Amino acid sequence: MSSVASVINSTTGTTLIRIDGLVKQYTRDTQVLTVLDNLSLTVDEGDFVALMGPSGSGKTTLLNLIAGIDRPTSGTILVGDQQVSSMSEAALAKWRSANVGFIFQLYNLVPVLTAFENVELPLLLTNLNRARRRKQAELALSVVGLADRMDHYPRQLSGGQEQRVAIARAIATDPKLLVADEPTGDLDSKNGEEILVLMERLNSEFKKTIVMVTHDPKAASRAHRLVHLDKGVLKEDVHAEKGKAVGMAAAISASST
Amino acid sequence: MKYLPFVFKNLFRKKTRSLLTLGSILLPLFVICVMGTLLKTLSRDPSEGRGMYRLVVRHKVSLTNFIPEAYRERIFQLGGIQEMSIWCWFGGKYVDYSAKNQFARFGVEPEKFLKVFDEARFIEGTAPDWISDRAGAIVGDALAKKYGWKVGQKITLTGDIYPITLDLTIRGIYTAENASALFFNWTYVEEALPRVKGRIGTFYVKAKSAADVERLPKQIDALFENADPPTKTETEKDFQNGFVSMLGNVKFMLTGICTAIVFVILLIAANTMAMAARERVTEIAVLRTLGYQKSTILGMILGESLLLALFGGVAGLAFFVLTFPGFKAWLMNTPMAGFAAGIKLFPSVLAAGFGVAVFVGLVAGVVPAIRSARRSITDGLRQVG
Amino acid sequence: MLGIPLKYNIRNLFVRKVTTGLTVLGIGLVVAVFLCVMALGEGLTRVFTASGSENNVLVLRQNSQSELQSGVSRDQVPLILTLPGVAPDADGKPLASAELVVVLNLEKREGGSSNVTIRGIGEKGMKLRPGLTLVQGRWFTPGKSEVVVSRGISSRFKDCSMGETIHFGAYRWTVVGIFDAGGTAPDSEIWTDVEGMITDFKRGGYSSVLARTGGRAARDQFQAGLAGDARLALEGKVERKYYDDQTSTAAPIKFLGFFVGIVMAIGACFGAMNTMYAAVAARTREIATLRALGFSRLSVLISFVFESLCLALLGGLLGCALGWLAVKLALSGVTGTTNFATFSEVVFAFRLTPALLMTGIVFSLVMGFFGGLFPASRAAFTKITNALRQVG
Ligand SMILES: Nc1ncnc2c1ncn2[C@@H]1O[C@H](COP(=O)(O)OP(=O)(O)O)[C@@H](O)[C@H]1O
Ligand SMILES: [Mg+2]
Repeated sequence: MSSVASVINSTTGTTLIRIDGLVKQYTRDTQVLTVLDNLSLTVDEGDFVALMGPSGSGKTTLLNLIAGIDRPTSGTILVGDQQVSSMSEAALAKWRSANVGFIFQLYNLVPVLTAFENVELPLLLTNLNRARRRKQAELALSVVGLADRMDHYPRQLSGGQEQRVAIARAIATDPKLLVADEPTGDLDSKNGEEILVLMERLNSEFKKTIVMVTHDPKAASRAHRLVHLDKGVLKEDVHAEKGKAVGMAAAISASST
Repeated sequence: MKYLPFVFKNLFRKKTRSLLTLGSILLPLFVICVMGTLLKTLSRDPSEGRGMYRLVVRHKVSLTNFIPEAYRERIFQLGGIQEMSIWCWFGGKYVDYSAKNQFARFGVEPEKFLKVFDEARFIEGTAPDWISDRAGAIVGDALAKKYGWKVGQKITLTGDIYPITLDLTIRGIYTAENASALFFNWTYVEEALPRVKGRIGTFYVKAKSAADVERLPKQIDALFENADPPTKTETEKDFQNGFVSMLGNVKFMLTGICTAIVFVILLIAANTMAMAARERVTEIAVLRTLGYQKSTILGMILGESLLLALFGGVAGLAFFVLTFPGFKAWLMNTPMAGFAAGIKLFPSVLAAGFGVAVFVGLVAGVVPAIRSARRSITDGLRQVG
Repeated sequence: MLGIPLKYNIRNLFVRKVTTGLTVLGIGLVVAVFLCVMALGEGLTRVFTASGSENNVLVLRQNSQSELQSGVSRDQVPLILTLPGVAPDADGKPLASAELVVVLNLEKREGGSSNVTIRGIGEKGMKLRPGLTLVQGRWFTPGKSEVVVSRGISSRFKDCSMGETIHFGAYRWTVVGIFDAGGTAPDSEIWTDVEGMITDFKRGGYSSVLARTGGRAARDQFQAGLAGDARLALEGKVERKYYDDQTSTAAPIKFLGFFVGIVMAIGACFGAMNTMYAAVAARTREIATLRALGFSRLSVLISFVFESLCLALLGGLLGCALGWLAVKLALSGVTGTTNFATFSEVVFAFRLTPALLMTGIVFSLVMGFFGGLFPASRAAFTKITNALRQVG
């Protein structure tokens, strides 16, 4: 492979994520599929990055690698001072519980647990006692505005509410980094909007660094930075004022369909 | 332990399935308890380790041959004997030959018998009543309950080995470890059939000490080695085990059935756990994304499997314990009556049943637990549903 | 009415390999256990139902349940043999044998001991039992303390092989032949000369007399003759019926078989239900689609019951195969138990008859039917609109 390495660096602030020469390949039988090809990227602490790209371009794969639930074929991923790409599986699990919050497109709440219990799940992994866990979970739920729905089961909540519970679960252990894979992909625009407002607030008010995969230009416009992934390569990187990002995002999505 | 509430909620996620699985553990476990109880009853020591020091003396050829009553004096002279009584199998028929009317009937010498069989307690009637009535009989409380017999009631036994019809009056109801026989005064038969006099089936001998129990069988059999007929003397336990051994390989059969049943439960529980784990692939991937360790996932699924089996198992044991009296009464009216008379609740059988539940719980969960823990997070997340 | 193609169900069974496999195995084991226990009962029953002849009459003391309890004195024998109805042999003598039956407590090869019937027969004894064949050695010579042993006893008891000597107290008998009675009662016996035996055991008479009668009318006449002579106090039982009456020996085993079989079947039925509920749940959308396409509730119901029946049938077939293998390989030899009517060993072999195998299949289908009925009705009554919206 002789494609040009795509090196995209942030310009300001302290770096939270540093990705170098990242390659991810899947081998199916004898065929090798290169999903991410020698990719490099840095993300500053406190940044809000939108990751766009056509379906199958490797966005989820990249996000999984950053969150430490997948392993690169080669290259390094540094998050904070941790070399995520070389940690043992057990250490990685421990690291994730304290440092990364993951938000899924389909919320992925546990249906047999109440909103509160769902948010408590990651807290069970900490040393906190019952009372502290309760406090922390309540806090997270009140941040997403669902303190009054604590004892409801997922099926008693709307899609938007479910996603907010999922976000509360992601921030319960107060991680620095949030990764979201199309968090509004399954929601109508009103609910999606609410989720985006919440994400923005988490970024501005709670200083969470967010990497968000999205298809939606409107969603992308909330981000400070837009990264476009196509055919395994980071193609564009737009540092932008909000308004400009919207325009760019619209253009990109138009060109990719 | 903080994961326990979560495990519980998972356990009853699909109520129909959990209930059906509980049912399909409960019933086979009930059967295992029944088999285990039969097995235990067949192989237990009738003295229950309480040192009853009883020996049985019989004709060496077989039980169906008789020995002279005159042997009594010579046996007594060996010393160390508390008391001994004639103990003759009467056979015959009560009402008819059907299975539900089968029970043991023995002719004995009441006064001596009560000293040999000294753990028997009268719960109705008295010893003197019986001793003084030549045509009197005593019956075990299990029998009395089954047939609704009362003291003073008359019952008729038609002989087959002995051509005589006995008209007996119940003079007492006794209770003991296995109170399911009828005893009557052997004199009744001897007086009616003079040719029988002096020829008896067995002697029950109560020895004075454990040392005497050791010594006497050899000495008694040596005494009559060259006599006609020779004797065979065994402890009561060996004598009864002899009957079990005559039944053939019952132990093998019952153990075989139990083993197969354990496998059946295992398969059903494993199926449930496999279905449960398969439905939760995404969820488990989410948990691992949240930072749950593989080992925690493994423990949670194994724990769920164990709880499932324990619920079913404990329910099965409870069902067995609660229905036992009724079940026993029912069995007494089936062809199993002969085996059912002596059954009771054995703690060891219940413990074994519990052990089976634990075993099933752990083994049924192993494969789904390992598979769930091993599946990569990204694969789990990609699974739709 | 449109039927849903059955292929659809069969394919679905194979798609869910693990669940199908575990359920089939579970049902199979239950069927196999049931079959093994019933084969045991069947083998034991056969000993009694196939034994004895309709034309032979066994003369016993009145009220005796077995030969062991009976007694016929020497002077009664000529009286019996002159009663009308007894068939003559070619030599003109009555075709009858006065016999003595005693049980001996012999040691088993596997350890423990059991009572074995030793039967002394008269010179016509063999002729009265034409089903017997000598498989080794020769018949005994009267007066020589020789015995012939059935193959079943020979294989299960010590000192009972060809050429060996059975010791018992002061008694000694040399085994000079091994016979086979095709799974009937003599297969549990040792035979010798009756007169020698009477001497050995110091008996005053015989246990019974077995007599051949010339057909039904003669048989009735002979029996009536016996009953009519009050001095004799004897009765004549048709030999076939005498053995039939002992069939109750097999009753506890058959009872146990049904008890275990039925309770376990309910358990396995629950297991099958689980599998079928899961199958229905996994295909809710499919079912709704079929319904939307115009298939009736009934055809959905039938389709799923059919699927369950297939599942159970696989289990039933597996169970039959397992049962057959177990009986052929592990349980192929003869075994024994005590017939408490005669207090002695009955030797028999497990018998897995085609009828039993059919029972096993029917048994599995019943499990399948009940296991499938409720899940199938759940499938049939799902609301199309709800189901179509459901994900996965
Ligand atoms: N485990 C896997 N095995 C093989 N191919 C995979 C695997 N995971 C993802 N892929 C492939 O990698 C590519 C990128 O997938 P993904 O990261 O999910 O894309 P996106 O999220 O951008 O839609 C796709 O072509 C997908 O088929
Ligand atoms: Mg994706």
